[in-house]
Amino acid sequence: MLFPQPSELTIDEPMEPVEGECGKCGEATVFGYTLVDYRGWLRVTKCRSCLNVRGSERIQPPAQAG
Amino acid sequence: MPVQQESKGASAALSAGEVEARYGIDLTTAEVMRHALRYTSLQMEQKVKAAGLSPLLAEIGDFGIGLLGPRDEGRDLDFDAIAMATGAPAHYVINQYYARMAIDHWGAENFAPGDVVIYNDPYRGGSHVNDIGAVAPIFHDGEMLGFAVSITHWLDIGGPIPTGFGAGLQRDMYAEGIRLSPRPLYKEGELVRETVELFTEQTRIADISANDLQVIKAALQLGVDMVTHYVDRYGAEAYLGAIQYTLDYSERAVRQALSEIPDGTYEAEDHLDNDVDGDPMLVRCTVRKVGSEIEIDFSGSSREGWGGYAAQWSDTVSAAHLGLQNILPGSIASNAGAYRPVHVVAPAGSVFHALPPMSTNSGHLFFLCKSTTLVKMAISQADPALAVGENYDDIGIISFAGLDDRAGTPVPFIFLRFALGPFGGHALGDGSLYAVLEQGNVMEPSVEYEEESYPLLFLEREFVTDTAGAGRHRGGPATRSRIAPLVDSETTYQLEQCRFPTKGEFGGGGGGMAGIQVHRGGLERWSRGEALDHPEVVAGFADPGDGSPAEPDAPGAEFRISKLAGVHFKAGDVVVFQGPGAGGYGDARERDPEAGRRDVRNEIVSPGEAERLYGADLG
Repeated sequence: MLFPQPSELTIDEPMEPVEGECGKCGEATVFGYTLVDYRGWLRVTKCRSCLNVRGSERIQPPAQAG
Repeated sequence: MPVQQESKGASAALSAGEVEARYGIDLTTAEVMRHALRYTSLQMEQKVKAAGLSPLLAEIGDFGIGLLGPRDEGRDLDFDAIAMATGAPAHYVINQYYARMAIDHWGAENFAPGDVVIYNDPYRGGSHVNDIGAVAPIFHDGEMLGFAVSITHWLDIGGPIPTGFGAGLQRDMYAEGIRLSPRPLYKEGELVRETVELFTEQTRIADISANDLQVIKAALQLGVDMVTHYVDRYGAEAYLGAIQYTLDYSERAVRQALSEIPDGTYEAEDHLDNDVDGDPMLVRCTVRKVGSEIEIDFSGSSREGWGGYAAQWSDTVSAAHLGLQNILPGSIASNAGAYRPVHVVAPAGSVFHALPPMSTNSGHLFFLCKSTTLVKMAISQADPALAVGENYDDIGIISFAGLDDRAGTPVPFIFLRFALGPFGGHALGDGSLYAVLEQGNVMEPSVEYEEESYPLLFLEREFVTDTAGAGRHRGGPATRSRIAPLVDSETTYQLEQCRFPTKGEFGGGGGGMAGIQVHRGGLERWSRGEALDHPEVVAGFADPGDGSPAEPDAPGAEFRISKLAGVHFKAGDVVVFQGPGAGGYGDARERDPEAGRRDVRNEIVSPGEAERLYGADLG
């Protein structure tokens, strides 16, 4: 699978606001995004204030999954 | 003087009763096995060093080797790295992805005793094509108990550039050399000739490859045999319990250390000297830390660039782990348990997360090092006790390749040197003067060995006065090497901080900039005892008129790219390779006068600079 070079000069991980507050610290907005833990790639729903992970699922690395 | 912060908190140890209850083994057996796993990996490492032909393996130690546990959902084990040797941490940390993805690709159910599967596709959780991964299954009474694994840096992997490092010339991954999806090197103990021939026919190091592929097998087999010995003695259940104990032990230690860092959000920013067009590349890191959880985010960094200016996500994540481990108090055994508290955000398409078909053979080193350094610089903001001035942060390389005709019959040679360098000052003292980066932890061969082995002369390797970043605790100084090829040679070089000097922390100053110069035909003058003159800038700031060195802010000064392949030097040229100085820590006016006088005596600082920086006559 081949990818074009991004047109943006700098790259940010897309952060998708997810409905519902953080169950741990009460932060109003939690986010859906991808990250890497010690076993590989995850799609998480996570609070960026207290780092509480509300949900996660294993995903393929982007280079393999497109 | 202590060289590392000590943890102020509780230890990672459990009581004997807790160990028995959690892991089903007694504490003594658990501790014996925890150390035995580590010992096994160290023995495997010695096997490679003793039998390898490649200087990268036998002399330098540029490889990682160790053990993975099994896949066992009930015990929460998934081919986790359980013990790794000391050499080249960049290699062994990445095994958490590289080996697991290879095992899954080949199919865990397809392994038989005596098999060895090898691979080098960076886009399957790896680093760059020169890093050859290998796994051998560990069976006991028909049950798979894990794998012995290795990553070995191959001196050459074919393709257009000797050594494989082709900054600027390898536009995409198709120009990097041979790239192997997982395939058998041994089947039930029998060498697979077709796989060996890929190396003997398509690389420039046929003899080395033929030997060292078998060395990999021997070292992995040693790991298999030693684990089998322990399982015979203690039983498979105890072995599996000990794996869980070992991983949890490291996790507890890391969480304890993390809990001592003030909660907060910490940021760091740096630049790579240049991309393929010569423009700087921005790199950023934000560290969020709450309790014993931490997230390291590389958002905001430059997009990936053609010509080798990108790295694999797996490299970035592993290097971030190393940055964290190096700044945490105490010394924590590196295994998958130590990495459990860490999340890393590596935006796809950035320099920290290449997407096919980007080449990553050179960028592997650039951004591996930037990742580690950025994490350290960010966490330095959290607590002065943890802060450290910026170190040299590229595994700088210079290579010479050509035909060695010293014995009458020309034979191809490839010389590759990884430059060591200085570290930044920190809360406890001055930075190291000359050490290898955390990712490497390798040895530097002696000059005598290299002059004997290659048609090269080393005219000098010295510290450079007035290049250390000033501070209460200064950084280490730059080191300059003068190397003269004795035959016409093709060269690759990669060097950082030729454009952006290292930075100090908490009022410390930055270090001197790096650079590469050449004295054309200088060896003849040197051999007559005359001074070398008329240097021409190869990498760094130059006067465009005659190529002579220029100050960065001089009118019209041009920056010459500090990473290139396919550069030619003539026999008798003298190449000057100078790394950067490292950053200082704290206000220089607070430096101990005796330490300042010692620097002057050792010519780390000149008397005039000492007076200017430290405000006292130290001469």
